[in-house]
Amino acid sequence: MNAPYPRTLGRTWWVERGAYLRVMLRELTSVPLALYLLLAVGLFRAILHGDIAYASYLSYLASPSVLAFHVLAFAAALLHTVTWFNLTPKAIVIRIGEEKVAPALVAGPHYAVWLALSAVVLWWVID
Amino acid sequence: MNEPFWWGLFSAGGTLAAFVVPVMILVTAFITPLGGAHHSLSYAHARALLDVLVVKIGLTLFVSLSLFHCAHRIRHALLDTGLVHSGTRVAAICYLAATAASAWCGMALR
Repeated sequence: MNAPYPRTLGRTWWVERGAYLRVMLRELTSVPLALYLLLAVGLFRAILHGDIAYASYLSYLASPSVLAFHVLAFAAALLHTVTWFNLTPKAIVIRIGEEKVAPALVAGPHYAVWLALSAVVLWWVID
Repeated sequence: MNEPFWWGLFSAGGTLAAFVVPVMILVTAFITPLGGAHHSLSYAHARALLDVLVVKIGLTLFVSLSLFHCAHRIRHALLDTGLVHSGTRVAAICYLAATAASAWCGMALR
């Protein structure tokens, strides 16, 4: 009667339900994101090392395996953005009287700003 | 430096990353290397952009916060999947790695 009830969680609890798997997928986005950030710093270094270094780094970035990684990183970044913005109504709770502002009205402006900012940057780059 | 402190960095980094990283990937990983941009991303222009102090500081801050976001997430994912057990060693490795990478970015851009 005095022994503790053995409760082991195991390591695969997160594959047992769709919801858990999606959370773990979201957490995993941080890995390609971190790797991308390192590659981005590599690009900054290349630019500051001169035009030959820049051109050489660009040809590295254009190689198929690096492009493939960046496709993965982009998908991960999008998943991060969407899951992050969709959580904002949980963090930013605005009450008007007894009602709470609808979640879409909290998350919506985040998406709008994100799309606008991205469009401006792309427009500036593509000229 | 306790859990709320690291969570704060995670939160700030995550917000910045959510807004900026997707378009940043498009620009740095696809448009620039695949020649889709015209003079905006020529060497001269890229260099001129990175020579501005505000840009250097801003990029370093952004990269650093995003890396701390990743470090916090990776640390907790390792704990949640039972691959490591709680203790300061994993936390130290994750946050030190983020610090080192941030320092590398700062040095690269100085």
